[in-house]
Amino acid sequence: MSQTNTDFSPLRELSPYGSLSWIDHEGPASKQDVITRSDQFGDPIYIDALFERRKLDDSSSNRSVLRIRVPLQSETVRLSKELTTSSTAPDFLSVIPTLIFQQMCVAAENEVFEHGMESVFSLSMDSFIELYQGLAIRIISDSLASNRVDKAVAMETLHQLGLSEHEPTCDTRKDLLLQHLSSEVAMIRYGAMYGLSSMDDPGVIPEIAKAYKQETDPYLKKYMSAALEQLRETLSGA
Amino acid sequence: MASDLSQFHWEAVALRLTAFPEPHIEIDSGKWWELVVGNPPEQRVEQPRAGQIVELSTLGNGRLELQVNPVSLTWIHQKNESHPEIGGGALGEFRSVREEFCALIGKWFELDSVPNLTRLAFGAVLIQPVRDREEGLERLDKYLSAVTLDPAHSTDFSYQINRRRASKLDIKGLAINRLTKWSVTHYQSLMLHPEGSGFQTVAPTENYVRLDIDINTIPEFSGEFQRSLLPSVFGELVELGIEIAAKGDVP
Repeated sequence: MSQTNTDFSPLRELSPYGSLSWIDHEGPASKQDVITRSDQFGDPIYIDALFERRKLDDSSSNRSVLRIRVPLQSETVRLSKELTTSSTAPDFLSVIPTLIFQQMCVAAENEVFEHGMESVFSLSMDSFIELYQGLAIRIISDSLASNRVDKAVAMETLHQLGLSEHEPTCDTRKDLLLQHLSSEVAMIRYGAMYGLSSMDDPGVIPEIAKAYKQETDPYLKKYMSAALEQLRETLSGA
Repeated sequence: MASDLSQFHWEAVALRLTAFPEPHIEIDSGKWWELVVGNPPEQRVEQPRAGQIVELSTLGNGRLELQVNPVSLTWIHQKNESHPEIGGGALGEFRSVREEFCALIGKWFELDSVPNLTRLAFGAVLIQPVRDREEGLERLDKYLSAVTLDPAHSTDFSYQINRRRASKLDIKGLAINRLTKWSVTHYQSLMLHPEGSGFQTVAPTENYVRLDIDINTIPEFSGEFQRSLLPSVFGELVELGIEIAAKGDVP
């Protein structure tokens, strides 16, 4: 892709794990959202995932893109099959989205999430789901199941799954949220609950009602009660 | 060098087209298989959570597969076995297998439902049977002008390189990655006795010179390919693969 302005303000420097940064991108729209970079010797050094900053800045003359940079020397990649910058082999392609999400989660550990406020992570999640669709949901599911995602980030991930407006993945996102209602970790249950209430689908009332009966955390129990009331109002068309 | 190499003939173990659709678009692949192949697939596997569909059928002494996911669309013709070089070698002679595969791809390019594509790749796994490791290295030495091999005293050799070239097509900014990997592979079928007495050899050792080819349009290319140009772009990728198979690792 061509960039007429390569200056950018680093948002996060997370070396050796990579970085997130905003870059001002002028010129025609890029069709390539994920590219690999090599150094002057042709050796692979990192993958760039570029997500357009659509919600905050729609100016066509000065769009900003969020760059997620994943270094290929990271431990995660060393566990993978050999990679090159130019390979199109299916094994290589399947690794990239997983690496991107892992990098998003690592970067998110340094963010403070506030209800109702956009974050770098929330914008990344929007683009990640839109770009990879069902594959994104599977990667998120596998990552959460691995227990290697920071608990606060996992909670926010579940929250963002519920907030997503990506229609084709609606059912799979809802299934994933319901699955995590029974997590052993209260933070995870809260994230799942928050995501489900954001979806405002009365169809999940039975599952939430069941989770409410089994819930032991008083704060979460109170939240579930409020969510059930909201969903029942939605059901009755109030 | 050229006349030396012309006496050797590659066999195809796998041929692949990978196409990258424009991001964020719905892909309507439901009728591709029947329109391209002419009859329904023998198997169709849907993985809704991954957004992936795989359709496949037997083709010759291998199988043809169509893999569709949000990131890439792949047609691949390959041997059925997990170690495809064993038991009867390859799909067939590279030229004939390639021509059959390219004819199928040509039909696919004609379909209106093929989405706008931003990147194309041609992949191939080719082999030449050789007597042993030493002969394999001697053969590779003829193909690899940038490397000096000592076949009698070398093992575990593997050579991978990408030599980028500008496209000869009139498409601004288009260049081609020519990624190749050269090696000598050795296969031995073994049977494990349940009584624990060890392994028993069940088939003679097979040795091959192996060439993995991945010829693809560069990821930095920011345009998309007009449908009318797809056969030409793919044709250029295939021609570059043919050149490498014929002449070796050339700049």
